[in-house]
Amino acid sequence: MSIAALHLVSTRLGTTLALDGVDFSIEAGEFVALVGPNGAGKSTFLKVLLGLIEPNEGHAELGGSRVETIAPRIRGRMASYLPQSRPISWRLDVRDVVALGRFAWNGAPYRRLNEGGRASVDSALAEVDAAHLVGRDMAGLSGGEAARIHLARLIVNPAPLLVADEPASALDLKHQYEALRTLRREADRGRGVLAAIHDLESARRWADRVVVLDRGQVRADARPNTALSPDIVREVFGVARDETGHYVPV
Amino acid sequence: MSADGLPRRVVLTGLLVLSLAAIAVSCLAGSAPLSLGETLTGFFASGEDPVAIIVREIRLPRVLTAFLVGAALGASGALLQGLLRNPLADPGVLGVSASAALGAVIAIYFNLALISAFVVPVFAVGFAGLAIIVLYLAGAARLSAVQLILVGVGLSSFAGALTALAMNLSANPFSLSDMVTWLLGSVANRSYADIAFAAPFWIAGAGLAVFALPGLRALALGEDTAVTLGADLGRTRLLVIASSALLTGAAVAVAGTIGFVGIVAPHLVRPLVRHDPADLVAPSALLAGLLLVLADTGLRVMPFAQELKLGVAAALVGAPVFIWIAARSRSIGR
Repeated sequence: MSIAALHLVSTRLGTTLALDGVDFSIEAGEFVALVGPNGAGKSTFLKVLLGLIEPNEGHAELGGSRVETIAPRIRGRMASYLPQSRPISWRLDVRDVVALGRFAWNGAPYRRLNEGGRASVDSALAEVDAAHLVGRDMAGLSGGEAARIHLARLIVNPAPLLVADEPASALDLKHQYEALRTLRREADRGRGVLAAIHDLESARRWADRVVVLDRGQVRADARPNTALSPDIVREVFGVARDETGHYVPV
Repeated sequence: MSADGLPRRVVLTGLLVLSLAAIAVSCLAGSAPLSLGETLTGFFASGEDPVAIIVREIRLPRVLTAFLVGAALGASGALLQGLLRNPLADPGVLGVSASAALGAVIAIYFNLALISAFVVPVFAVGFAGLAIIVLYLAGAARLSAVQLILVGVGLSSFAGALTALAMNLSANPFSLSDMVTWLLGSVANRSYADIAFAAPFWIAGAGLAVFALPGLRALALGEDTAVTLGADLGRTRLLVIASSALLTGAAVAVAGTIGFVGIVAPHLVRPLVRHDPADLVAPSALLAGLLLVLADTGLRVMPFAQELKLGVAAALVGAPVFIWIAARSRSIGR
């Protein structure tokens, strides 16, 4: 059974049709990469799925229920979300930010979590190679360090679905690799992972399935090598591989 | 201050003890020279004793009013800062206090206060609530710290102008002098009756605030993330608006507008509570109460022919601190 789905969703943002008749579903244990050019509607896709944007037509489901009917706290236990812009308003300690990932279970700062909660925060930090940042406040971190803290916050929520909007951007190559490997590992542990990803080769490498979004429509939804065939990549992204294997505009 | 902060219990107990000490010391100060021994006796002497009357009926209610007004404004500031994700939010700076004063002035100008003494706090609370709703509709949570202050300045000026208009239209010089008191807050000559009129609003406001706190914690990561974490954003908004309107409105109804204490107290407390926007509220209330008690005590011992208004003293100390925080707040990520 699918853990999340979009049914014939269309969404207008201002005058543009950001999503146009989108059908989608994701299963437990599956890593789905969402790719598409800038403005294709990837972020809107994720926000509609999470109930942050109400679609003009169609509807989104989480765990078989229409997303807008689910109580906020229950919804927080069904899906964890890493947005593309990640504001932090206060000089919070790294561990308190990660502890917020458990808000729907026991919304407390790190020090007031029970032993199990604290252990899960610490292991999430270790998972993203950020254990050494404990005790630092978020305002003092580099962009890449902060991105890893947010990734730890995403995975510390034991929800069955992880939704990440560009989890690897702002990261150096090593940490890009590790971020996607972390998401892959979560999928292998039985969670559904849906991530908007810019880098096509990362999508090909880590995902079980790739959804190609183009001007609000699903152009392909298949195994990576099928969805990212040279024809589709040329049509949707306007690039093709040159003789050295690099993508260049056509 | 260590980045670790202090355990919540230590912060709250410490501030509570300091507050009680300040309240006790403050009862020693005043125009009638009473020794420590006389003051202590005054607390426990029989009702007819003149010292007992000075301590229990004149000084203590004034000190308690200062503390409770400060606490209401401090909690209100911390709540608004959490909701708007802005360290410069404060009922005074945002024009909420000025709007509450406008409500109170209208209640008096139209002689509505004659119906029941509760009309004044009800109007003050109602206008404070309107002001917060206007701020929210203006997109306050999405504005930068500085833009938000500008909206607050506009709202404050508008409420001030309407208050001045009401004062111009007033035919009654007695109510005119009343109105001046609203604009320059003071706790002089307040009685237990004044506290009793504000108390129901303060209790309701504090009660609602408790339920708003967890949402403020989630809001630290922005509205979209807060919703997906499981916070009920609509409920949190409503609770903060209602609670800070009740707290600020009743405070203004009792003491007029006293600015900046709602911004200074949370700023000082924040490092002690690991910058947690929910844990911030209760200690901010205690510290703000403590600060106003100290400020008011200072006014009473200063040898001026005419006693300075508490609102003036709060601005004299608070405004420079506000400017300092504002100048530094660019470095706080938004």
